[in-house]
Amino acid sequence: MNEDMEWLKLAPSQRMRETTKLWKLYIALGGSLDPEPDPQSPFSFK
Amino acid sequence: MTPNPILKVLSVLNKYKVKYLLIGGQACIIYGAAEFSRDSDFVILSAPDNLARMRKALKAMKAEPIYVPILSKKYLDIGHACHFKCGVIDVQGLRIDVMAKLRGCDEFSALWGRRKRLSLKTGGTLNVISLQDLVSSKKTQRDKDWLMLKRLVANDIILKKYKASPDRMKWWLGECRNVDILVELAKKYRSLAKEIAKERPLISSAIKGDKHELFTRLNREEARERKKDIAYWLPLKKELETLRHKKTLG
Repeated sequence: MNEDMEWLKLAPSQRMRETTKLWKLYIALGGSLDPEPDPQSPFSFK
Repeated sequence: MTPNPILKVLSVLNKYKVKYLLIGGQACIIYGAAEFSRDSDFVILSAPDNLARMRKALKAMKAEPIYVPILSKKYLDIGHACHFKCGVIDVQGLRIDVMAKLRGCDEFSALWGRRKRLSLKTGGTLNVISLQDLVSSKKTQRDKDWLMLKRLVANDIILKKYKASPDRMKWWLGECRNVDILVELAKKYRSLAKEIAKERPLISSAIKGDKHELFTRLNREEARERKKDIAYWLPLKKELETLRHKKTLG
């Protein structure tokens, strides 16, 4: 089964748990909590 | 330490009994279209008592407004978004975007009635915008929203193995943007497809099995929606400029 299908077959609460694991890794690597840059957003501002 | 800052924000909103719906990137995760997002977007009820609860929740997170307009019923009800940056530990630096009205979607009370409630093993319940309303909210001027929209609908069809209630199948035929899946749906459910083609003429290309024509018509449909979104935001952006100018002048 490919990764997309595995992700899709998870229950929504399981997805929240998995994304929490990604957050742990992201923060451990020094990731910023700033929003993702999005120049196409109607409220894109610095 | 809460490893997921979004869950921290949600726990604070729950603690202060804010009537909110999780939208945007986090809702896309819940419905399987994304795996990670730093977006923290909410649609809330703009009633004064709910806004008071929201202000208390923002204060608890030391969330400061970072742009205009201020959090008020007046601005929320005409479609503006209010933006905050959190200062409390665990969520420091996280931006929270709050709206009360989404273009192309019903009023909050209807969105609330259709919401998905998600119970977490760690405790608490999340209020999430329904899949159908999330898809409607994604018809914007942004490329990434169209990518998400396409995935959200396709995932639902794939997970349900092309079988659902007639209403759900009508929704698929009305919203799906994947050429192969649309042709397959039209082949499986020809009479439903003919019915939907009256409202969404490009379905006739799916019925014919003409993938090239269908692709072209889907692109045109998307372009029309993007134009509507740009037109919707134009007066709001002008108003934002005026408010920003007034704020700069002090």
